[in-house]
Amino acid sequence: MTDSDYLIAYKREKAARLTSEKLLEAVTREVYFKNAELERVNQELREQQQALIQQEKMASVGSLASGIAHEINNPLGYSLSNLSVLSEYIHELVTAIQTVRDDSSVTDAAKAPLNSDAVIEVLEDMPDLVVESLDGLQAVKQIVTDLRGFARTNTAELTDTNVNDCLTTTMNVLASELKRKVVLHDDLQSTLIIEANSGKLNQVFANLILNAVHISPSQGNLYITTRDDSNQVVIDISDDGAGVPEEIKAEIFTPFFTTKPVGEGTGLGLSIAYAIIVDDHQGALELVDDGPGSGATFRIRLNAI
Amino acid sequence: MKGIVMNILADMVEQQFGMSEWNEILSEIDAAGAYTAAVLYEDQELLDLVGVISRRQSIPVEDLIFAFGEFMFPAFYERYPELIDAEAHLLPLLASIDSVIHVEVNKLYPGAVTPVFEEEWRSDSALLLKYRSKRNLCRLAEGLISGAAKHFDTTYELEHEPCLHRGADHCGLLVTLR
Repeated sequence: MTDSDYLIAYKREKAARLTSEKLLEAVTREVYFKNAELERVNQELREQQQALIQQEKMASVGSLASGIAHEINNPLGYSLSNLSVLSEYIHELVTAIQTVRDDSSVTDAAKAPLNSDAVIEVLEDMPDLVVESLDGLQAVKQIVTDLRGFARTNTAELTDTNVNDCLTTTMNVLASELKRKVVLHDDLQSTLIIEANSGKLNQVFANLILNAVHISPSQGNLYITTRDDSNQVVIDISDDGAGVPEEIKAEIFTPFFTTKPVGEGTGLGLSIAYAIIVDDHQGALELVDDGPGSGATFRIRLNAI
Repeated sequence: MKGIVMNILADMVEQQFGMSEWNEILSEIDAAGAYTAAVLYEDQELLDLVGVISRRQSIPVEDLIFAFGEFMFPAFYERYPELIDAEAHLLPLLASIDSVIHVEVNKLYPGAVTPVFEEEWRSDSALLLKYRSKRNLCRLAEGLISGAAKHFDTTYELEHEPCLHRGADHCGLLVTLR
């Protein structure tokens, strides 16, 4: 074979290699697009799975909460009622004993049992014990009310609602708390009307605002804004606290999850807010734009009429 | 450096100096010389090849790299005509290097390390490209611009200031149409 033959063969092989490379590139391009599509679908599936898990948690804890609330409510009702009556009885009893003790016509010997140290201590402690017990039962009643709210047993009709009015009402109710602890910046620009249960929306707004106040540093900033976005009303409630730690982000809408000390929070606030916005109003409630040091923003989206 | 660049260098040497010369060059640096387009090779191997070619052909390295850039453009056009034909003029093509061409390169060659060409339009007929690359191959970019200008049958002036080789953090390549 001559050099010329080798050159021809070399050029032929080189052309074949270029063709192979082009084929490989075409397949690589196809794989790239398919991979991108798979990643997109996978992401969608993961989000849907998270939503389903969240929904399932809400449903199961909802029915559990409904049952517990029902079972607790009756004994709680008569306990509160009886204790209130008992409180009045005790008042009458203490007054009567005091009358006898003050009565000069009764002999000291007859009064002696009423003047013993033990009886004096009982008479002093009894009213406080009853008041503390009543306070405790009132706290239980509040928890049961929250549980019922979460179970949404008393759904009311939706009416034409302006979220700005709801927020103004909520801010008025919380005015003293807000004034004492944070600097409020409100900018209510939304103009759209939505169909909503304004009482429940107030409950959500109050919960988110109080959470923000709780987490804010003293005289921190609280931002409440509304705006229209296409056919939706967008409500942002933001603070400049420490933000939501990464490790608890997945849990914040879970019933009974709380970072507050035992006795200070039931852990139902955000889960109730979630159920009211998502289930009752077909809206969205999410934590956006957060990070340590830059605070947290809770965003609500509600569809306009 | 991806094998496609090595292959184009081999084509240039074979066409201009012959196959025997390419074989000699490869043997000088003890390179296997069987480059596959999608495979990533050490940058140093390309620089070694350029160094040997420069010495053997008595061509200053900077001139050789510029000539390689000029040769590279039609070689790219042969392989990816649709990318080049997407633009009808020189400056819009240069402006699309990062946003279109390098995006496509990364689809075809995952892991490719492409330089940055940040575009800044000075006027309809003047485009500043800010070139950033740890390889400092701004002369290759100049050669590619020259090759592209020939492709579009366009004359231009190039101002190269500042330059990575003079301590700047990027090269400014101001291309002005004549």
